[in-house]
Order: sequence, then structure tokens, then C-alpha cells
Amino acid sequence: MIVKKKILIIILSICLSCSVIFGTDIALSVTPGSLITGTNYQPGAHVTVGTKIGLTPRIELGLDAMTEVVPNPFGSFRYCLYFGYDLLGPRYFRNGNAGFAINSVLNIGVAGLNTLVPDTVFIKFSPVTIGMVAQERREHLFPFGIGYDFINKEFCFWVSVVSYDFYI
Amino acid sequence: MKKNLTILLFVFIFIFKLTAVQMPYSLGYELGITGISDKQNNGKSGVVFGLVYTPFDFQVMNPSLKAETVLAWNKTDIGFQDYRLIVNVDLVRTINHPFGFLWSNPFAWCPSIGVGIQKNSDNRVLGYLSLSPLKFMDKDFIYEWFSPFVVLSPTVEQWGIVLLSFSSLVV
Repeated sequence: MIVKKKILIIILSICLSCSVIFGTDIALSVTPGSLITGTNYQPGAHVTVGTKIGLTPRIELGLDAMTEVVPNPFGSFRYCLYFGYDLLGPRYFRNGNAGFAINSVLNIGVAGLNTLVPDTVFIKFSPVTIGMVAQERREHLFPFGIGYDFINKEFCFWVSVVSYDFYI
Repeated sequence: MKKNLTILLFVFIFIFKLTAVQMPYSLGYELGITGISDKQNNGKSGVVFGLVYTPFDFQVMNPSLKAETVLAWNKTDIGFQDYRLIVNVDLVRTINHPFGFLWSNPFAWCPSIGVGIQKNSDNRVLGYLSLSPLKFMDKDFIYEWFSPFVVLSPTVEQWGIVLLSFSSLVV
């Protein structure tokens, strides 16, 4: 577990370094309501908080933590580590101009339930995002995803109404 | 029982309409995501569909009416299971609040409490209490985040959280 924590810290340190070196953006993200299916997930509701770090104007690295709030608050913990790519255009331009205010984002990554060992690979898609770095916030409307749990050998689905990014 | 609820709904709307201050938009629809737990700690996921009626424009103690149903599911079952009629009261409405960073445009913060009745799938009518500490609105839209609720008989039969609710006033 200590080794895994170190790996996580190293990954975050590299991300932060890239962000500082390349002068990119950092966002805190909140997804107030998420519904998810799968053998390991109780029906109920989940909340996700996380951070996104801009590696390039079109690529972000995200780390999310999803926890159950109903019926057992904080009864389970799931992390997601993923890369996101802005499909329609950059979040900002290197010459200082504002980026695309309307966008779509494709995320690919891994997730793990109650442990840092990944058990799921997933693709997550935000069909419409509104906002940009210059506005310090971005809303992802109707994000949804599909994952493959290679421990239980099953697909799981994930959906929400909206997800918020607050750039700092 | 369904007939009684329908009559009650129309009576409420009639009374509200008679006494209403003219608002630009007062009637709209609601969409939300919720999680519900029963006494045995069995969870259900759900989507809330509703109608919202906000006839008044009071700065303090502003009442409104909601009629909701929940499409809820667990691993074996899915269906519309709860029907609710709720009177909400916005305790105060202000644009001077600490949550301005959440919005690009100014939104009013109007924390509210709700009291109502809920008809369950077993046709019992129970009491319903809710709290919306993070409720924001402008003239067309209402957002509510993390609104807990309990269903009482008079002990707690169900509890849950409406994680996110979005209402659009269209008429």
C-alpha cells in the first residue's frame, strides 16, 4: 500500500510539474450525482470529486474519487485515473487567446474499487462541455461512460447529469 | 387514493393561482438524480421527474409547489414507485452569498425546506420532509444540490438525497 501511495504521489508530482513547466491549467471537479451499475456497486447514489491537470491545451490528466452517499455514506471508494482529450479544439491557445467554449471530451483511463489496484478500464464521454479556462469554470453536460471490470469480467455503465470543473 | 391526490393537486394550484403575484414564469418541469434507502438499508437509484409551480416573488418565506414522481431501480426491479406533493418554502432569497464562484451569471441563493406527502408503491400515504441548503435560482432556472429528505410514518420509512435537481420554468 505504501508503494502504491508513493506511485500516486509521483504521478501527481509529475502532473503538477508538467502543469507548471508548460504553464497549463488545474481544475477541481465535482460531479454531484452519479449512477453506476456493476456487481460491486450497490444501487443508490454516488458523488465524485477530483482534480484535472492540463498537460497540453487539449489533453488533461484527471484523478477522481467516487464515494457512495446512499445508502451507506462513504461505504465504498472508487478512484479513476484518466486522460481526457478535447475533441473540438483546445481549452486555451498558447498565444493567450481564449479556447473553445463549447467542446466535447473523451476520457480513457482505469479505475479501482476500494483499492489502488485497478480493476476496470473505461471510456467516458462528455458530449457537450460549456465554459473554458478563461471563464474559470466548465460544465460537462450528460457525461456517461462504459467500463470493463476485468476482475468480475463484466461491463459497467456510468452516467450523470452534469459535472463541474472549477479552474484555479 | 390517486384520485384524492389529483384533486389535492388541483386545489393547491387553484388556490396558488388565485393569490399569485404575476411572475414572468411560474410553472416548469424538474429533472433530478436521487438515491433512496429504506429501513433495511437497501438502496435504490432514481431519476426524479416533476412539475414546479412558483407563483410568488417574496424575498422571505416564498412558497412554491412541487409534484414529483421517482423512476427508481435496484438490481432486480425498476418502476415509478413514489408520488410526492410538496410545499417548499424558500426561507430567504439573496444574491449576496458566498457561492458566487459557482456561477458565471448572478444566481440567487434561496435555501428551502419542504413539507409534503408521498404515496408509496404499496399505496400508503406517508409524510415527507426535505431540506435544500444549496438551492439557487434566477428567473428561469432553479438548481438544487445535495437535498436530503426523509419519509415518515411517523418513524423514518425511507431517507435519501436528491443529489442534483434542475428545474426550468417555462410558462
